[in-house]
Amino acid sequence: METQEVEFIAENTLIEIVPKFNHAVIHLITGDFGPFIAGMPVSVPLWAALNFRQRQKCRILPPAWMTVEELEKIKQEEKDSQVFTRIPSEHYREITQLLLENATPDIPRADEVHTLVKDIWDMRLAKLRSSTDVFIKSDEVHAQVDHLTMMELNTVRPLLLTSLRFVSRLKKNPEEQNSTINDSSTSFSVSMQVSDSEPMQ
Amino acid sequence: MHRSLNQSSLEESRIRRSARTVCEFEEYFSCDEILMLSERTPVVVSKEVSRLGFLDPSSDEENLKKNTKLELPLWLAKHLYNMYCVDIQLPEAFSSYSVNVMRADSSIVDLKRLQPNYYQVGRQLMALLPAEAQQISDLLVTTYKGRFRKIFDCAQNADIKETDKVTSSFDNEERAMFFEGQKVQLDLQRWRDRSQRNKINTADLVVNHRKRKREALRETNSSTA
Repeated sequence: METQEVEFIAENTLIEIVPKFNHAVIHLITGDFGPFIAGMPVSVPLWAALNFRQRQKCRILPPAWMTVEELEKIKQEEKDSQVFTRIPSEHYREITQLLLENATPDIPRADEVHTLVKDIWDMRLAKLRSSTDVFIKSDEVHAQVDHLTMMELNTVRPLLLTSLRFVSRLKKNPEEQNSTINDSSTSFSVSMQVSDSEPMQ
Repeated sequence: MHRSLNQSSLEESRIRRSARTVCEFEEYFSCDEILMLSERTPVVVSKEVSRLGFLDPSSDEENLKKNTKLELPLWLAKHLYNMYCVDIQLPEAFSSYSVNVMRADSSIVDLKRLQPNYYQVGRQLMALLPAEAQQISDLLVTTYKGRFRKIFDCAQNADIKETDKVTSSFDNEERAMFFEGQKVQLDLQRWRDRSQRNKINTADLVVNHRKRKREALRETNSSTA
């Protein structure tokens, strides 16, 4: 999956805006949005919000987690914890990027928000890298990692999958090499739900 | 007693060998595979082979003498082995010395110099030598596990300009994996910097699927007409 596609999916997240115009309810495939009354907050998909914002038709209210205090808290939690912590938004990286690009004035202390999000991202990626390594080194065929976001998964997917395939091919006996069943022995499942099970590391 | 033991083990290996089919190409038209099959492999001639003396450059004999030690390309060694003419020895990269090195720390080994197609040759040898297969397989897995972190880290961090320096110690297959990992990184970078605002492309699968569908439609149309 390409980064562009992940961003496209992220654009479906709902976000609150304060419109500067009046309009009746809009019927979209994902649902009905509106009615738009100037000054009354209403939630719409991110892509629509960005479109309105570019035409100066609204003001975007940043999501609750996109404040310096909130992000500082997440960052500290991430630092203290051995495993991945729960991030309030599944697409935090993409949403931050899109909002900072198109609606910087609407976000208080935008530059600090940007730095914090990047810090969190880097920290999580480092964790992901080391746990992937542990996973490959161990002979396990199954690992559970919670709270990973789509973008983070997307960065490890190709290399991790080819590596697992590669290792399983090296392990195979020559007799089995001709069999049609390929790579079914190794699976890497990642669940996004909150669960009590012990994640790897 | 000793001799009879030897004999029986010899018989056993003969039987095992006859039961084995020729190790086929993994991919017939792959250039990488053709190159891989020309790697030097040490062999010992196990019986006198007539009119193959030219394979041994140090002798003028017409026939290849028994117990001559030679280095042959893997493809030739493979076929002679299947004709019971030679016994394949483990190349240096798979010797017990290398095993110890790989166990200690495989990430610093320059695989490119040791054996540019380390894993592929290893897999071929695994198929050819059933007795050593398990040992080779363990070695390959250990080696890769030790090197994975390096490949992964390099793929995520290395700048495209210094790629040559980074990949110089990688085996050919590792290098392919490295580039795969780096592709994601570059994609992410492009997305972040918005240097190249590219459109979302249609997946290959979908494109091909449509084509096939159209062809199928055309076929049915012509048949009904």
